[in-house]
Amino acid sequence: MRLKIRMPLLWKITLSIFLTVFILGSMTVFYVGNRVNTSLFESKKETLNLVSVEQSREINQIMSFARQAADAVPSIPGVVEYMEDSDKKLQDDAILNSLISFGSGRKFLTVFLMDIEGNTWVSVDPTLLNNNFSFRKYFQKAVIGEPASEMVIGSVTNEPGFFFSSPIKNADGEIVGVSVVKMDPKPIYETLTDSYINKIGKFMLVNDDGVIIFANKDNSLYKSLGTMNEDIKAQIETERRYLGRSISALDYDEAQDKIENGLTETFSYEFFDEDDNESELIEVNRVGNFPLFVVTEVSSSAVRNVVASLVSKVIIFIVLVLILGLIVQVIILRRMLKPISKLDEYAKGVTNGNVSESIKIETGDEMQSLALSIEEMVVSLRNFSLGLEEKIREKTKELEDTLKSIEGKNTDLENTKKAVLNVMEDLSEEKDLMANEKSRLETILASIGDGVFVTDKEGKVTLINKTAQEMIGYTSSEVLGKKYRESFNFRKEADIELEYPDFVKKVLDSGIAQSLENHTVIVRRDGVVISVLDSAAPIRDRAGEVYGCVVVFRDNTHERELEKDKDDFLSVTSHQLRTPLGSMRWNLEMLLGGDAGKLSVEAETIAKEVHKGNLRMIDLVNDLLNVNRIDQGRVMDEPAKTDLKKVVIDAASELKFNAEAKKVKINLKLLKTPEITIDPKRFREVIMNLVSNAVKYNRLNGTVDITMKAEKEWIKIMVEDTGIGVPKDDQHRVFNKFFRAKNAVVSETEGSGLGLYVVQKFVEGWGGKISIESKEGKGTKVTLLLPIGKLKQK
Amino acid sequence: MDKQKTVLVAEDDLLYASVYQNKLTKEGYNVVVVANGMEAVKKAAELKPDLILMDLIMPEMDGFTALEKIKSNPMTKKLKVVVTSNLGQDSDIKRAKDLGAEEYFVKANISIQELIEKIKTHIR
Repeated sequence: MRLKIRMPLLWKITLSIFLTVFILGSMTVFYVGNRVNTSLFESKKETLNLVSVEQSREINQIMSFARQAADAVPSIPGVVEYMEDSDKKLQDDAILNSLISFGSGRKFLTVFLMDIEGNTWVSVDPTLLNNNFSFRKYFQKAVIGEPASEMVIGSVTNEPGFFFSSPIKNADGEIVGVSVVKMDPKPIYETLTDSYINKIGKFMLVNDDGVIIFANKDNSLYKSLGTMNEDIKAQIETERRYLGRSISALDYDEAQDKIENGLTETFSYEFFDEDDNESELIEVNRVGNFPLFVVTEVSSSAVRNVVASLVSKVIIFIVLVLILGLIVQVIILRRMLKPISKLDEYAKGVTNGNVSESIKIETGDEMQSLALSIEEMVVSLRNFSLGLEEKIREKTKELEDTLKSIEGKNTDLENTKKAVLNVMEDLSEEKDLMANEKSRLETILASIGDGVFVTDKEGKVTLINKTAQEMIGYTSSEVLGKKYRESFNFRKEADIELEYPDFVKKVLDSGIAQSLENHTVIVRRDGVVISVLDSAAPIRDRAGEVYGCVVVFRDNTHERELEKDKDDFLSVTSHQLRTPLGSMRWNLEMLLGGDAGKLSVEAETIAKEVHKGNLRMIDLVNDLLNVNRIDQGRVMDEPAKTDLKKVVIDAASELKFNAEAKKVKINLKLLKTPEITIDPKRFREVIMNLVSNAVKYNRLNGTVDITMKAEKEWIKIMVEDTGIGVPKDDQHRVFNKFFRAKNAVVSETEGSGLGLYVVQKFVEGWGGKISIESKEGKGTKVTLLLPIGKLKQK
Repeated sequence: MDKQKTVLVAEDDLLYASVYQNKLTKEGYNVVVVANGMEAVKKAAELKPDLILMDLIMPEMDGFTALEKIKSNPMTKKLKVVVTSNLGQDSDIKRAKDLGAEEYFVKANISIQELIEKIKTHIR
């Protein structure tokens, strides 16, 4: 969720400035405080170091001065001799005076001489006489040739003093005694207490055993800095070096350790003093080569306190500055933001419809120009709003018009809907009709005696009736949706091993109905062969596209049996008829040929007539047989390469006698034609038929013109006569079986009326055409067309 | 003169047989006529004629059977057989030709002169 602070702009700006300044200030204070703290601490440390070093230097000067003085004692005249004198006198006046005069200008507490046993012989301080100080470290070192110095609390005086010893050597360099100078420590103490070191913290003067011999805090005097070496501690206590006091240890263990190990350089460290509960800074400095150390201690907390107070003062200052700055800021902002209030008021005025007023802002800055811009904007808005009202009025009008037109369309839609509903009602009626039609069709199919099945475009069975199922021995569920050839086993009777061509595919591809050849059989599932007759026709949709095929087939076993009986009957009959006709013919021909002796003219004429009748009867028998054959479609064609020209010439010459009898002239006009394959006997039969008709029905002295030529894809044969012609009414029937024209019957009583029928059937079997043109009383022209292409293929 | 040619005629109808006898003898052939198929087969093997004219409808053994026997006997199978019958169905013609007949004539449909001319072409 977003927090929304509702407050005047003035406060927002003020608050943001305040926050910015506060954050920046806090960061600055923190950084500065940290830096000040660090640098102050560093400078404090440095100061401490400087003061400490300075102090040890000053003390060193004092000590060195004493040292020099002590070294000069053996050189005082008479000292060596005195010490070598075996009969020397205790506190010899001459020597004593020399010592007094030596020490007087030098602020020494005392000067004294000792023999090599440590016995005091001469001393400015007479209390030291008759004492043996051989246990003192300064004696022990000097007696072996090393000048030494030591802070000692006098066993006689009970006062602390610095003792500087020097060996006294004779002319041979032998040590004959030890001279000692005792220095007052006060100048050293004064140096320390007078210095800055006294003001910044604790300080201590420590000897090389770590024992504090002077401090500005009394409670640490004659204590060790830290835990001492136990041997040294025991030795010191035995020697009663500090008036028999037991030496307790402070907690400067690190400093103690450094001093015991012969510290030569400055050493400083910081540690947390648990007793004082504060952090402390310790520094140790050696005084020259003397066994003396200046130890200073400053509380680092003090330093930090200083820093803290400094930082808090800075923060207070910043806060004060902030508050002051804020007050000033608020005053300035008020003045700056005043025009905004004015703009606000103006805008409210405009909203309430008061547009005429102007904003009075004369600040001379962006505010003023903003005010001007707003005024201009208000004016242009007012103009725009006036235009807008006009436009809205127009649009409203347009909208009303549109609504009206939509209402009109709505009415149209309503009407359309009614119309559609009506159509749908009609459709449902149509659907009922179709359902009825379908069930009607199914009933018809079921009751039909013929086998019927329907395939789709792929030759798959979509419908099959009961008869068809019985004929193939499969049920509809086994057949539907499968290729018809899987269950319909059509074969040719003559060659039952070969599969029958896919006639359904032929129908589907060509779109032309097909009849199956005669002598087609179907092999039932159980192997029974049934002779069938059938036809297949395409089914088309409204666009004329073939989408299926309907096949109707019928068991014609019984018909075939009848046919065979008829064939047998005809065969026998024709044989029986021909046998006597044939023997009559031959015997007549023998008679006419003179084989039985020369006939009289009369006898010959009679024999000729009989022969003629005999031939006509034979023709009749032949025609009947031909017609039967043709009707059954069993014309056995035996095509062979045939010279048509020769056949025509032969036929013409054969009919020469007939023609001569009527004085008819046969004219041949035979052009070269392409060689074709055709059954020569049947072709001869055709030509004979046409030419004999042309002769038979001609007038006396008439002509027969036979022409033959190739014309494009056809061989054209025309037989034209000048005969009686065919009456117009009869012309369409001349190719009918047993038909004879009226005038023909009159002119020639004999004739079967089968000739042109047979001719037409043969010609059509070859794929040719035959036509007749005739004018009664003028003549007849028969035109025969044979297809070259088709007959060439055979 | 060449050696006389022999024509074996199988014909049960006397009217035809006499015509053959008459005409072929006139042509100079030695004509042997038998009246049934059995005889024809027998004579064919015996005489090895130059041509056999075979009728089809005959008693005892028909022409088809006789033709078949002649054509299946290695001794006689090279003999020329011309069928002359009044059966004229296409199936009959085909059957005879399939059995080895040189030619097939329907007797009623051919003049005797024509037939003799055809016979002559086969004997030459």
